[in-house]
Amino acid sequence: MIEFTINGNKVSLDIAPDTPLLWVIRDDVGLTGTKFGCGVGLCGACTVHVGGSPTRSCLTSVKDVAGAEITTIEGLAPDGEHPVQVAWRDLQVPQCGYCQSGQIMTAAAMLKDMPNPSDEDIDAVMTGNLCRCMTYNRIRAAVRQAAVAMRENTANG
Amino acid sequence: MANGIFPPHKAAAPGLGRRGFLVSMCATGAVFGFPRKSLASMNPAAPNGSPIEAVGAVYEPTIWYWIDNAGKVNVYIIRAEMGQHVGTSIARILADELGANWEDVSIDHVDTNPKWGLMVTGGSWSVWQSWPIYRQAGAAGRIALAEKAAKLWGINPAKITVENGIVSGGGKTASFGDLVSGGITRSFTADELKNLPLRPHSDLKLLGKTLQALDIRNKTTGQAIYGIDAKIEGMVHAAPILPPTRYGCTVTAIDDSAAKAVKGYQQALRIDDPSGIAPGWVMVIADSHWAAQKAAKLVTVNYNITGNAQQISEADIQAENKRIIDDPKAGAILDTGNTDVDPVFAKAASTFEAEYTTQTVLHFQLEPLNALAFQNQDGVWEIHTGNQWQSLCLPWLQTALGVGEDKVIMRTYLLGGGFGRRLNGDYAVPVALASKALGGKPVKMIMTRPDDAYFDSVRPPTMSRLKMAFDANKQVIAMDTAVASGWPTKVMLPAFMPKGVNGKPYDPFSSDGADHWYDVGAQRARAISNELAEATFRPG
Repeated sequence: MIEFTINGNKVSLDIAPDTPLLWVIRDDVGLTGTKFGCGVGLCGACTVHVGGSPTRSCLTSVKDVAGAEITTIEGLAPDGEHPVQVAWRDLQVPQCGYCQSGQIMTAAAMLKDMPNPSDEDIDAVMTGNLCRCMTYNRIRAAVRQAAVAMRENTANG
Repeated sequence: MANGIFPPHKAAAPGLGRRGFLVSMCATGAVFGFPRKSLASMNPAAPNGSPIEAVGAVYEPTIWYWIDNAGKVNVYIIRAEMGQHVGTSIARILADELGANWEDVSIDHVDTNPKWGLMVTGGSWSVWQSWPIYRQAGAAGRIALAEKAAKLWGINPAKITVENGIVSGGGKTASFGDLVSGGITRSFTADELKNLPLRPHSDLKLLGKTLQALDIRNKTTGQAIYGIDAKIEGMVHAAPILPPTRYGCTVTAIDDSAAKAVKGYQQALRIDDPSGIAPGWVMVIADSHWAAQKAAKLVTVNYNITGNAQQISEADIQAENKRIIDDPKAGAILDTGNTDVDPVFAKAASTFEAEYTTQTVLHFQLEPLNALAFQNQDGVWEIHTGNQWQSLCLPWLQTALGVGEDKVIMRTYLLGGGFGRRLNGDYAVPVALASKALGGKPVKMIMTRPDDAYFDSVRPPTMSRLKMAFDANKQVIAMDTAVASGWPTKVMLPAFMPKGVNGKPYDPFSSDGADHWYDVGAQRARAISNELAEATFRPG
C-alpha cells in the first residue's frame, strides 16, 4: 500500500510502485485536470505540487511520493479562486486549455517563491511549460497581474 | 534561482510529507472524480460537462436551440472546441438576433446525429458559415415570442420589441420564460427561415464586444473535459503497437510471453481492419494505462511487410515531387482564366524561375491521440474522442465494425489542440475494433507521444515551381505555377475533389493560393499528386 495526501485527502492505494504519479492521479484518484502531454518531463502539462514544489508527475513514481502532500489544479484554491487562476480568467489566457493546468501550477509555485518576478524570471521558469496554441504572451501578462494581486493580498493581510 | 525551481524528480519531497499531512487534516476537501455517465452532449461551462436541464416543456424555434419555461436559452453547437471558443461565438450570433439576455444562454456541443448535417471543424469556416444559419434561427425565436405576446396582449406584432430577454409592447412586458410557459407552437419552413427579417447590424448589441468565453473558467480549474478524460465503467486500457510502416504490414505472429509478468496485463489483440484505415495494428490490453504501456514494450510482433514504404525518405519524396513537376502533362490545370502561358513566355523580355519546398511537418497537438469505444445497451457503438470531422470518420467506423449508419455515434469532448490532426479520425478505428474483439467492452487507448508522432498524418513535403514572364517594362505578363505533394483529400475523401479545366481532379487544399486572384496576365496553376507520398504515409 502506498499512502499520500492529495488536495487535503489522504489516499491509500494498492498499486505498482513504479506507476507514474500522473496516472495514479488521473486514473486511480480520478482527478483529470492534470494532463499527459509527453511522458518525459518536457512539456509541463502534468505539473503538480509535491510538498509545495512544482513537479512533473509523469516522471515521478508513486512510491517516491509516499507520505507527501500533493496538490493538483483541482486543489490549488477553494472554488478555483487562486490569484493566478483569477488573472488567467481576466486575461482569457486559455485557448484549447490543455496545457493550462500545468501552466497555472508552475506559475503559482513560482510566485510563492518569487513574489516579484521580472519578465526574464517569468520566461526562465515558464519556458518549461509548452503551449501549442502559443498563449505565451498572455501567460506572461497573467503572471505579472497575479504577482501584483498576491503582493497586495500579502500587504493587506 | 529560476532554474532551481524544479527539484530533481526522484527527490520529490518526501521530507515535507509529514508537515503536509498535518496541514491536510483541516484543508478543504478534494473533488474526487467518478466515471462520467455517458452524456448525449457536452457543455464546456459546466464543471462536469453536463448540459443544462430544461425546466418544463421547451420551445424549439429551429433545431439549433431551445428556450425553456425559465427562459434559459440552450444553443446546440456542432463545431469542435479546440481553443477558438467557437461555441461562445456561435451562441452570441444567435443570442443577439434573438434578443436574449446573455446570462440566460448556455452552449451544448452535440454528438453526431444525421439531423445536424455535415460535422466538420476546420478551415476557419465555423463562424462565417454559422452566421446566416444562427441569425435566422435567432430571428425565428424572436418572431415566435413577439407573435405569442401580440396575441396575448391583443396588439400588432410589429409593435413588439425583444431585447435583453424581455418582450415588450403596448405598455406590457413578459420574459421568455413567461411566454414559453404559455405554450408556443410556431414552426418555420426552410423557405420561411431564409426570408425572415434580420436586425440591422447597427442594432446588434452583443457582437463585437469583449466578454469571457463560456469555456474559459473550466480551463483554469482543471474541470474541462477532453477526450483523454473519457471514462466508462468497466473499461480496459489499450496500448497500441504500431506497424513499422503506415501501409502494407500484416501481423504474422505475436509473442507476449514476457508481457505476462506484468500485473494487470490481459492480452495482445491482432486488429484486422476491414476499412483499411489502420492496418497492421496490435493492441495490448490491460487493467490500467500503465500496465498496458509496460506490457506493450514486452510484446514482440512479426510482420509480413509488402511494398517499399519503409525505405522511402524525405529526399525520395522531394525527388518524386521534382520528377512529376518536370512532366508537363501531369496534374490538374486549375481554372485561372487564360491558362495559355507558353506563347507569352516565348515573347517575354525576361523571365524568372524558382523552386520552393516545404518539409514534412508534424501536427504535435499537445493532447496525444486517444479514443474510447464500446457497444452500449442499445447495440450502438459509442466512440468517445475529440474529433474535427465526424462526418468523415463515421463511415470508416461503420465499415470497420461492419454495421449500418444508425449503429455508430461519436460523442463530443474538448480537443487538446486540433491543428488539423483531428480532421483525420483514423485513430478511433483500431480502438473500436479492439472493443469489438472484446465483445463490445469499453476500451480506452491513449497514445504515447512517440506513437502520436509516428502515427501522425503529417503535412506532406511540397514543392512549388514558380515561373514569371515580364515585358520590357518589367511588368508581369504571365505566371506559371506547378505544385506537387501528397494530397490529403485524395486519400481521405476523393469524391470531394473538384476537377480542373483539363478534367483532372485536384485537392483544393494542396494548391490553395496557386490559383490566386491577382492580375498577372496569362496564368497557369498546375496541381500534381505525389503518389509515392500517398503510398508511404497518410497526408494531412
